[in-house]
Amino acid sequence: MKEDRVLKIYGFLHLWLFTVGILLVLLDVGGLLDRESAGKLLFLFLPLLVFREVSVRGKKIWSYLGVAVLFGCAFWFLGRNRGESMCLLLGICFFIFLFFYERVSGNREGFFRPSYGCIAAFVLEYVFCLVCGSEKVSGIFLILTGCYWLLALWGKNRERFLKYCEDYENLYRFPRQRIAYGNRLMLIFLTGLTVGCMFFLPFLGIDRCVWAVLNLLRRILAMLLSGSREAEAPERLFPEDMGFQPMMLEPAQKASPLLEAIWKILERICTVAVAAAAIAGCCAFLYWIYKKYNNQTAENGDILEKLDKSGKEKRESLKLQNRFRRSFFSGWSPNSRIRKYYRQKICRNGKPAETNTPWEMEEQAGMTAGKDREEFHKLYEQARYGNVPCTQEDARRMKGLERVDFL
Amino acid sequence: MKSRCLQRNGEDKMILLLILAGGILAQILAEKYYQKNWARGLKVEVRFQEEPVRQGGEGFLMEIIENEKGLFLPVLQAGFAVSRNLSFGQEENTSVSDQSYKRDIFSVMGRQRIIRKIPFRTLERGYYEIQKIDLVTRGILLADEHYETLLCNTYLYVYPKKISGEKWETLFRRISGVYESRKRLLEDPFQFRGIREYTPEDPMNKINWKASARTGSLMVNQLNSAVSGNVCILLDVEDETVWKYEEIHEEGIRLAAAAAEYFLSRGIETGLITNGRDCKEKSELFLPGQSGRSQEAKFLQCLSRIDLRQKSGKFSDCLERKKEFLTAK
Repeated sequence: MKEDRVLKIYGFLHLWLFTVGILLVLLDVGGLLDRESAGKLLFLFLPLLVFREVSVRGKKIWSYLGVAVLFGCAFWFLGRNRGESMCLLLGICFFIFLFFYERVSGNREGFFRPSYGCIAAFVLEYVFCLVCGSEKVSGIFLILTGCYWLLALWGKNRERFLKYCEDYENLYRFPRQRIAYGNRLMLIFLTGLTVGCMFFLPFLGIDRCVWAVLNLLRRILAMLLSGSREAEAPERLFPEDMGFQPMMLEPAQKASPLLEAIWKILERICTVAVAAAAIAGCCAFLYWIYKKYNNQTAENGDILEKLDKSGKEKRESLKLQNRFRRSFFSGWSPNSRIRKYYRQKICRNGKPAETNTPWEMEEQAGMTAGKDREEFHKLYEQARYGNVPCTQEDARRMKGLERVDFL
Repeated sequence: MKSRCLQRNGEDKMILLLILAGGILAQILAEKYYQKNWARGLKVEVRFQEEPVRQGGEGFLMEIIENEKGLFLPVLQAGFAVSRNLSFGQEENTSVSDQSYKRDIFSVMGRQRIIRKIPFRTLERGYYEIQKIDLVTRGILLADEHYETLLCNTYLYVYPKKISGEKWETLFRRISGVYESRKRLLEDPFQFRGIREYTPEDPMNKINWKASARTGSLMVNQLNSAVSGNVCILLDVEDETVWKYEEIHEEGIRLAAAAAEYFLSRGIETGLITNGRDCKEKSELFLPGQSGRSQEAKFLQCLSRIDLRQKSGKFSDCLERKKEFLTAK
């Protein structure tokens, strides 16, 4: 595959994040982690870039060794103390070994691709920090894990896009640019969704729920194994925290209420403005990609047309109040019962046609004319079409007639 | 105290797991949504031009893709198979084996229609159709492939090539059996020749009363008689040996087409009896004699549909079957 610039940037970011993660743990374990030492880790991007380029482009090993010595010395002297220098040198040594191995093995992209497997390293580092009790670093690792996930997502997507283009680029009228725009747009949506899910899930309180279930299981298992019939008294969660209240400002430190109000308003305005600017920027970028993608003139001679929304058929629905609704008790009324008996009698000899009149249906059912049939017919017509509701007596009579054989 | 610490640690670990689960969930949801909805409101149509083409001529094919939903498809591959007698040229995306397998890749925006016109050259006479279109798209991260097959019903008649030269006209005149005739036994009431004085042999219905009133003496109409020809073209495409003389038969078909065009252009009723078999129905083709422009199209369509790869029956048997029709004429 031809080397892609975007993929290269992803590769640099991947290696940098990976190395920085390891060094952060080491610095934290040594108790050397502060803002300055963490800031120095940013400089690791420079040797990473140079080592990569020299290992790819350099023909002799001497240039590579020269650059290695140069950066080794520079980062050794960059450290404030021996521990910090050792850590930074370790990062440089890691790069030296990595690119040397890549050059020797001939697999230039072996360690240079973000992969989901590397997330395991971040998870381990995070767990290690938790065990050591450094909450600040574990928080950083949470963010790093999220960022690395997105990086892996983008890297994989870019790889697949390039592979797809490589496979089909020889096709006549292959819309590479349009596919790139579409893919970018899709990736932005997916990134938004991923970030949303990553933020949203921890706030749902699922973790507490799962933890409570696990705790319950543990207690049940403990109870079963110990052989006691009653469960232990539930532990009280964080009794100290319950009494913990947020600190209040002392009266001496209280600022002027007017200034405080103005400050609050300004703070809110600034927050809203920054948020609005960020959203507007995102929207503008999305719109730009959308416009590019939706460009009406295709470069390959295709005719592009926009379909109107109005083409969709309007669905008509009957209003609920206009529909005939049978109430729950309507089946018990004499009218309904009479119609039910009539239906049972008629359907006994097969289902009649829907277009038949009651008289025709009776004929079809094989009922012979007579006094009983007259009454049967009359009762049905009264229940079906009459204005006056039938009585319970009529319903009872219809029930009796239903059992009569009209032969 | 220890268990509380453990619980706190566990909850923190759980946050990391939830973040990762969020990432996985987002990807799964997006993939599922795309997998379920990509084909909804998507119409793909492949259409040949409406006018038939002559053998060796150029035609075009239209690929129309309509996406009526808002969800866009970054990659959509439309493929179909068509006879290899239609040549799409070197640069078009066609692989030729038993058929021409053509595939095109599009990137379709939401609520968009893409129309692509593909020119081709017809190599041989025939009836060509496209019956289905295979659609392939890639998943949301261009990872998985999703397939859909749509039915399609488009066809094209490629008429036999026109024979050049005017020498055929004399031949057609001779084989048609039409000669000039002075016999006027039956007069055509629509062919008015002139007017003359009345003689006692003339029937009363021939008197032109207006002209008689104008001249003062009885005058009668004179009418011409018309002769209409009736031609039935017999086309034999039978191979008597194992060896197939396809080129000779093709030439015969071209001759039949040229003769039919010649006769039909002169208003002569023309029919076709052949032992050639229909490429679709697999039965012997037969066209009763008629005149007019539609007959010309029917005739050429019949000739286009003759499939020389199918074994044709004996021509004598074919004539025997159509004996009644021939003698009736």
